[in-house]
Amino acid sequence: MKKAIIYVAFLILLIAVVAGVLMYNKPHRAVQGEDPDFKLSVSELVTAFSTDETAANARYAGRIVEVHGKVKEMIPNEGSPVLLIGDSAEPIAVICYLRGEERDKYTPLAIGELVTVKGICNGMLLDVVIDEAILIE
Amino acid sequence: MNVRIEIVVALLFTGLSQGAITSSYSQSRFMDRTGKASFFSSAPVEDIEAHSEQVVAVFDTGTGEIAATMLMRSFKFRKALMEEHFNENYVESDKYPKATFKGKVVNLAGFDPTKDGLYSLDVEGEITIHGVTRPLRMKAKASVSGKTIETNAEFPLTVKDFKIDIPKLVVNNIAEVVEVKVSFVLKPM
Repeated sequence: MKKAIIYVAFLILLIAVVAGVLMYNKPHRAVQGEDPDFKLSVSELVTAFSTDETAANARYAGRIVEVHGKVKEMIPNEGSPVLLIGDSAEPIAVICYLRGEERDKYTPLAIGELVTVKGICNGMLLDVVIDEAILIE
Repeated sequence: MNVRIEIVVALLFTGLSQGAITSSYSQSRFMDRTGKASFFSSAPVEDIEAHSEQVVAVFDTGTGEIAATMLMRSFKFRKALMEEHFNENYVESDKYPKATFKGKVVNLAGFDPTKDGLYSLDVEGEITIHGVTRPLRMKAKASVSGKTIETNAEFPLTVKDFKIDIPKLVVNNIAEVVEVKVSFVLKPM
């Protein structure tokens, strides 16, 4: 009986340690392979944020969004290549920080080209920010 | 200039001097929309650092005003769990999505943005994190080269000052004072 209790206690401890280690080393959220929470056009996302930033934050911030629109500006950067997507007539765009490994797909892009990007919405600064982004097409 | 940028710059500078916002100084404004910020926490159990490349900074060389804003959610950590705790438990990114700094270079007399060289800037202002605004002073290095001003600064922040509660359980994992570094490559707007 006593032995059984020791075994069970040991087993629980082992599970706790394994769970703890797994939790601590839990992987970063991968955008790749995950379905977007929202699929919308750049102008829809921009309108949502410019109309009511607090409401848009509650709805989109921290969620995976997939947006499509025209390339407005490209900032190659050292770390993440940056893509501004939006209408050249519109003052606000969507600024996408692409994952480093997307650079091969990023380099040949041209201003005005239609693109679809999936990533995590971080909120809005000058533009609506999408992070950890990957190019879908 | 882009209307949106004009609005944001106006918002960034609000409360400092309304005069600077009206376009008379616009040629002296420099901006970086992919500025960098990082912080480093050294504690007995572990060292934690986080980086962001999503800082918007504006420097008006005519008035000396500096403004910067960033999304807290953009900080990246080595461990996903640290990132989660940071956003959900400590800085509460849902409630307080942005950190902002508004300040002024107080020794502007010696700074010439048209002359290449290295300058040391004394900056005084206010920083807002987690909804709490505190005064902040720092020394920034600025390097002028052509039409670009590269600046960087380091300053310590006391976590407690910003009403960020660190649970007793992890008190040995997180430093009471974290070292913050910012760097901007500012170009004419």
